[in-house]
Amino acid sequence: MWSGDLALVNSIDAEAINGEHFDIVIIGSGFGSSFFLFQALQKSGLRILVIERGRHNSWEWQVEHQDNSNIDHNTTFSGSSDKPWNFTIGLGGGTNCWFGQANRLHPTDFRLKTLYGVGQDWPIDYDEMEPWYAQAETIMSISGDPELSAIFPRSIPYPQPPHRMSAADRVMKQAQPDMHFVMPTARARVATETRPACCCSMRCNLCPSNAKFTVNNSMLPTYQHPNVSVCLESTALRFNGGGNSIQSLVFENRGKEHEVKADLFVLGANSIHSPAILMQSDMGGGLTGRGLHEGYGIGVEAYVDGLDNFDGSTITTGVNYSQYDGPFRSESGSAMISFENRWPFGLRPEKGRWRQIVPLTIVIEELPDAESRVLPGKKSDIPEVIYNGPSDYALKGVERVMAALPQILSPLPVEEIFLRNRRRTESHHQGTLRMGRDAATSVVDEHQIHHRWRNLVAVGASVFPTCTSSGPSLTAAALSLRAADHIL
Amino acid sequence: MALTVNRRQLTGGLLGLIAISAAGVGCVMSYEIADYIWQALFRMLGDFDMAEADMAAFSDDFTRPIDLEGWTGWMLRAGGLSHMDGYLTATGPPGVHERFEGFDRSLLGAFILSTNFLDVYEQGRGTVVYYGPNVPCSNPFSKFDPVS
Repeated sequence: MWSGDLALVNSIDAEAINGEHFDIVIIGSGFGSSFFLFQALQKSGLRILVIERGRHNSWEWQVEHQDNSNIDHNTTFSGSSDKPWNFTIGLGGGTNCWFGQANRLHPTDFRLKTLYGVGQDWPIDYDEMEPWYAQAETIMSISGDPELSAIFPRSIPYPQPPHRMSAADRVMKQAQPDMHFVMPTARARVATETRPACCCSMRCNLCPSNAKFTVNNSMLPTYQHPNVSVCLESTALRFNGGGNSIQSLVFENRGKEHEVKADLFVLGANSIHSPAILMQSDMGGGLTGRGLHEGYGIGVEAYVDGLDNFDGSTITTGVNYSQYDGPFRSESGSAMISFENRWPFGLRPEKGRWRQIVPLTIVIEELPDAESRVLPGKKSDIPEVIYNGPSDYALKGVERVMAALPQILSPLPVEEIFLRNRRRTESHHQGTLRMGRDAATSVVDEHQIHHRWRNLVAVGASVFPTCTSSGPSLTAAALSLRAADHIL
Repeated sequence: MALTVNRRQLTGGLLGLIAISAAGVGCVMSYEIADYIWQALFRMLGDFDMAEADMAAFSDDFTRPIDLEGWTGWMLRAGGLSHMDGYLTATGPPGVHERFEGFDRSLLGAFILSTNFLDVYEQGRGTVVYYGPNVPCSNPFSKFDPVS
């Protein structure tokens, strides 16, 4: 039976570690877990076990099967809502399927409550995150626009030059130099030691040229380190704890339960399964599992007269921040406007005008709602997901940005603007183990340590206390570097 | 002048109407979506040469993930058969126009992504070749300025 590329990581048999003690046990291997592991390995001598639910499906396997995983993630949770919650089960988790947009959060995103009276403040600010953003960008060799530093101050330059803008981006940049930028991305602009340059294949969830950063193409040495063992096809079931600390983790492998002990446990499954594991351990309560959310997306097109678009060098070339921040955030969500160098709704049918289109993906900030949550399911280890959105805050954000678009796009020769769809998901679920200084309004502290279980660290987007309209991946990676550096 | 229709004539008329409708539906359903695809592509792109095997492979790959057994498929077949598809794509009534336009735009986008059509179009000669559905570097409009 094929069970993934065992030889490419330090795979260990579950039987061999039953009852063993490790310095650190890490659950999951997506952005949060992998970057924590990376930083942990900077400290010498730690013995680390990674528990991963899926197999190791190499990039070659994924391309051959046109799938990121052999496991249908929808079978791992239940729910009555038809809203999709996407994630990849397998070594590398979401690094396999992400599109590679690598935006930092806006400095104001960390202070939403203070500035606009809604949501929560983060327990850290942009300045504190900046060096960790820079390190995560270096590890992923992010391509970015140096001019973004006007909004997002930087300590070091982007590792890679920006991508080539599309025709629409060039017009927008000329007219709105302070608001329109080249999208920062983990799709390589120039080849690295492990990845070719992006050649605009337009299928980033499974890049056919392997140009996008993934654990598979850039972080496998982390999982090959002699101090690291990886137990694949193992599902974390529950912790055993006492006092204020966790003693052991029980996991299932091939139908049999095993137990491992550790000094430190790192919980990085995802925003559905991480809180579920705590609830299965009778360690829930408070806000654990509550506030499940993601940005609310819409697809828009502008038909333009005489402007042949799509000559940029990657799938999404522009980002416009003109609707990102302002007093409106007290009433309606922030909006990040991405200028696409692809045609999600097809080309124009008129002969010779096929590419006179400017497609936009607009993601609106959501407010986490405690009623959108993860609950223990009727079946063991199959949690139930309840969704109570979208909120009026997000829907008002859609109205506001649609009303503003004619003005924003006025530098372009716009004929007509169409709201094409309301996107069912951004595949960025987050917020179920939110971080904060107050145990009454958060689950983990400013260093991502659980308020009650002091040797448990939560990583990944589950710790986000608010939504923002930027993608979460870079921030999840940077947070893990910071947390590991502080804790170890 | 009064028109008198007896029961036999009424029954015969109804049966005739049903037969004509059934023949019409049968005729529409016997019209292949692949025929619609080529009719639409020639309408949007002009004439071009392409091997039959490549045309068939593209049609199969393009339609595989699309449900064309329902109302949309029926409308596309009826529009193609009656040669009303160009009108319906451009300015047809609401509910119909969107289906034709959406299908045609996706079709055009997929065709340009997965063939060398643009090269043939720009050179004004040659045979269009289908590369397959999952080729890398597929955006034919992309440009990659050298990075200094």
